[in-house]
Order: sequence, then C-alpha cells, then structure tokens
Amino acid sequence: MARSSTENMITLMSSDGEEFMVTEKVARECTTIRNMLEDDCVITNIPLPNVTSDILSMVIEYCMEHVAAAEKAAAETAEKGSSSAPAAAKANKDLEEWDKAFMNVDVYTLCDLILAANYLNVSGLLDLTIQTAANLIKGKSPEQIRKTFHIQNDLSLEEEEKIRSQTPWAFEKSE
Amino acid sequence: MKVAQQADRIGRDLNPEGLNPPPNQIAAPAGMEGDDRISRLPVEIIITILSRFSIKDAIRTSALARSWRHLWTLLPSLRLGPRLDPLGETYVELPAVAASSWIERIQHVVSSLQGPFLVFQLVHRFHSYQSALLQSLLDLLLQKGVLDALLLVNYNEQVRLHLPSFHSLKRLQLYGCHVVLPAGFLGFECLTTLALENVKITNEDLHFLIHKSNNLTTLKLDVASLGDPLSVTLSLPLVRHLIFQINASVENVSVTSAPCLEQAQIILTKPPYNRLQKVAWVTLGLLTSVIRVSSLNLDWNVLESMSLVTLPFNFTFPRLRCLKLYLHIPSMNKQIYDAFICLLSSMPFLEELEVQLVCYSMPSNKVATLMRELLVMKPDGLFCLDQTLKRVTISMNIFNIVMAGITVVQFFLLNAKVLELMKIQHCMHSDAQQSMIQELQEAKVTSPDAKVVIFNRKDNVTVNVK
Repeated sequence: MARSSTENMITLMSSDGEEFMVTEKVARECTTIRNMLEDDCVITNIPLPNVTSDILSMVIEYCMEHVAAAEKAAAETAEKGSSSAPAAAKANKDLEEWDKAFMNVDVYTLCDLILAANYLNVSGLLDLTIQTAANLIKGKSPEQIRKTFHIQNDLSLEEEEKIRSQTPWAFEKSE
Repeated sequence: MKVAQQADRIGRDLNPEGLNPPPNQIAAPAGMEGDDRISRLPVEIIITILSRFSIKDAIRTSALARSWRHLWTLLPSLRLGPRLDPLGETYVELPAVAASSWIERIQHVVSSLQGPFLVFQLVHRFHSYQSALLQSLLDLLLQKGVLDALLLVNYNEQVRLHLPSFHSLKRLQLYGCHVVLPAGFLGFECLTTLALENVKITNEDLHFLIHKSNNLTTLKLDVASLGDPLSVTLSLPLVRHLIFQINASVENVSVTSAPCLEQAQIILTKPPYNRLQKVAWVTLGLLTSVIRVSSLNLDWNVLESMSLVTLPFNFTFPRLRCLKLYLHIPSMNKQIYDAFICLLSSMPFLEELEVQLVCYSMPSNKVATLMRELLVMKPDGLFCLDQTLKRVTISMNIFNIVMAGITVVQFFLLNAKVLELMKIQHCMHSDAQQSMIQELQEAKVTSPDAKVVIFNRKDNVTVNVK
C-alpha cells in the first residue's frame, strides 16, 4: 500500500439517493468498499442500496472518528520516535468513551447499524453494535428482552412452559 | 465463514418463512411502533450476539418467541469457565468443586447444541469420582465433533480419561487429568497445538500420542509418568514452539530432531533436595538438545539448577537472539552468578534479554551486598555484551528487591557496550521510583546510544532517565 491516496474523494450514495463525499481513507474503513476500490481503482461513485441516509451518515461519522484517532496516534509516534504508553492508553480510553456515547441510540437504529456494519464490513462498528445488543439481553428475563426489542410472543402458554421446564436453571434469577 | 454459513443454513431450515429481510426492508424508516427488527437480523448475526454472553443467557432467548426457539442450539462454541487461551495464563480462581448435577446440565446443553463445535472449553474443579461423567461428556463431544479447540481444565483431583481421536481437532489442552489412550487410538492428524499440563500418562502413551500427532507446531508438556519415572525422547518434525516443565518425576528428556524449532521454554518445579543434582543434569540435557532455537525462556528455577552442574558449558547457541530468564533474588550466590555469565558466554549473538527478578522469601541485606559485589565485577570477553546485546528489560514486582534490581541494571549499563534500550519494569510507589531514578542517574553507562526507560505498570507512566 505504497500509494498515497488520502486526498482522493469518494461519493457514497444512500438508498434514498443522498450523496456523501468522504476521503478514500474513511471509505476504506468499510472492507466492502475497500475491496471495490482494490478491484477497480478509478471508481469514485458508490451506490449503497442497502443503507439509508441517516444510517449511512452514522457509519461515516464512526469511520471518520476512528480514522482521526488512528492518524493522531500515528503522528504522535512519529513525533516522539516511540509511542508513549500512558498517552496511548488515554487516547484509547477517549475513543472508548466516544464509542459509548455513539451507542446511545434506540433499538431500531441499533439493529439498522448492525445490518449496515455487517453489509459494509466495518469490523469495529459491527463488534461495537453487537456487543451493545448483547448487553441489552444479558441477564434479562424473556419478558424484559421482548419489551426492549418489541418482540411479539407467538408462543402459547403451554409451549412457553414446556421450553422453560427443559432447562429450569437457565430461567432462575441467579445460580 | 464456515460456521456462519452453516448457522444460516440450519436457521433457514428451522424457519422456512426466512429470517433474512429483503434489502429494501432494511431501509424502512426507523421508529415504527412494535417493529421487531432484531428477530429479522440474519441468523449468523443473532448467533454472534448470543455468543457474547453465558450459555444461560443464550438458552433464555429460547422462550422469547417461536423463531428464537432453537436459535441458541446453533451456537458454534461452548466456553464454560474463565476464558483461556491454550498456552496462555492458566491460573484461575474457581469457587467450589463442580457438583455432578452441574456436569449433567452441561451434558444436556452439549446434546441440545447442533454441533460440530468450533471451540469447547470446560474449566472447573472436578473430583476423581466424576471421571465417568466427564468421560461420557467427552464421548458426546466426539459424536458432535470439535473442529478447532478442545480445552478441559481441572484444578482439583486428577480425573481419569480415555482420550478419543478427534479427527479434525487443531488444538487440545488438558490440565489435571490422568490420560489413557484407548485401544485403536488413531492420533490427531490435524492437531497443531498440544498442551498437557499436570497430566499423568505412561511413557508409551506419551510417545505414541506425540508420534501420532505429526502436524504439531506447538507443544507444551508438564507430565508425570505412571509408575516409572518419565523418560521421553521427542522427535518433533514441525514443532516451532516447545514448552517443557521438568518436574520431580522426569528422569530423562531429550529432543532428537526438531528442525523447525524456534522458541523453547524450560520451567523447573523445584525438586526435593536429594534430586537437585539429577534434575540439574536433566535440565542441561534438554538445553543442549534445543541449542538451535532463536528464542529461549529459562523459567522458574532453571538458572539456579544450572549452577549445580560443572562449568563452563561446552555448547553454543548459534542462532539465539532472545533470552528471557528468571532470577530468584534471595538465593543469589556466586555459583548462580557464574552460571549466568557462563550462559551469556554461550550466546554470542544475543540481542535481547529480559530478566525477571522474583522473590518468594524476604531477601537478607547480605544478598543485596553480595549482588553489589558480584555485579560490579567486569566479566571479560563476553561477545554478546561487547557486540550484539541491544535491548535489556529488567522486571521486578516486589519492593524488597529494588536495591538488588538496581545492581542488575547497573551491571548491564556498565558492561553492554552496544546497548540501545534499557527498560525497567516495576509496579512500585513513586517515591521508590524517585530514589531509583536518583541511583540510576549516577550509574556509569558505557554505550553511547543507551536510553533508559522506567515503565511503572501500576501508575502506567514512562520515565526517560537518559
């Protein structure tokens, strides 16, 4: 990857026709787009029929923040000759805080972000959103999970009772 | 992504109406009341979510709705107990001994899961009378298949297990078992990592197991033999990384052929007094059969043991670049110093050295004085100190050994002529660190390029002394 391509701009088009201009470096955070660019390096306009504009703008916001953080860390390393552990730890913590604030979304947006991160193959965002969803389920009763995610319970009372009786220990509050 | 595809396939079978929404549906506007978007996520994503918490949480999702009923049974891996990495840190605190009903629950879970497993891990404390239960669990796993890693770790009494031949298994770690190879054992043709720790096995079975696992690249052995003392001759065609723990039952160990070996680690369980000399020779024997490694880790008690054999060593490590060794400060004496210097003289191309200073008992003031006397001596004609040693790390975790630790630092600052980086790792208070810095500012530094860095793990700060 000797080719310097930071200044190239790419246009991403959402399913509802909105256009987003981003640097190639930001676009490359999405493995799906990176692969497209590697197959055909003159491509500048990428339609993304699976992603709406509000979700796409969030994905771009995430990628920009993470690219900026990586660039800042690289610049600091270059300046000092070696990376300083405390500064790197602080930068990591800041980015974690940012991620945490970024995940302050409703469950619909969360599910859409998971799909978009999966489709665009942004591994960091996929990991973050999946962990956020997991945290909403972890330690909760089926009733609480249904309420959080608006899941319709289509099991009859008998069916649900049967499921619970197969592994009663899994439904106990704590072991 | 093999497993995801499989999960997807089975998921579709279970839910003929399909769980994957068509693309245009994903773009539907957010905020619709009662819109169950999570259930419409692709099955492999739901499985990934379910993999992020305990099996208990995962099973609870079976009561959410019909489409969730069997999703958890597609989980590709089952990890019970703290997350372990084969060859990683194995010490974990576990509360109580596992109840047999707990093992029965695991059997129920394992038989409900569709398999094959990617990873199966069970870490707990079992009694020897639970061997039969664990054996039936192992046999069940064999039926389901384990593709990548099988870890069975028991921190209590040894359980007796017949080890079946898992056909496609790549990594196997057993801890705290008495292993028997059943008749007709075929070996593990795909196995690349084998770790047997605190394991009892016969000499014949051990030899057969390693011989039949001929794709091993990483081997960790801490085994005791049954009956006879352990005598093992290892032929390791592809092994790159060998970790061997010499315990009291090891009578003889040698590596006859290991053309790919790069890293070796030797750990010593401190032997009873009457076997010290014997173990020292066993250690030396193992060391001379791995002289072509590029990285060597002489873990607990090794240097101490080597001080009991006749010096100097008549062997050279022709490719060794990195050495890590443990130095137990309270037992430091002239013989250990000599063994240390002797070892350095057998490593003419050493570039990187890490010395971990440890302390199990309170060192006397005498030790610090002794070390000061020993380490200000100038060893002559050590090629690595004169020509190659560039990076030295001295780690110490206990306040008591700071003074002794500083003498080791000073030794290398004085004698390593091409030193580039001296890294000192500790986790002590800042005033202890301040006195260390003062001491070091007066140290005599021979190499013009030497940089000294103090890394305090407790406060996470880095100090550039020079």
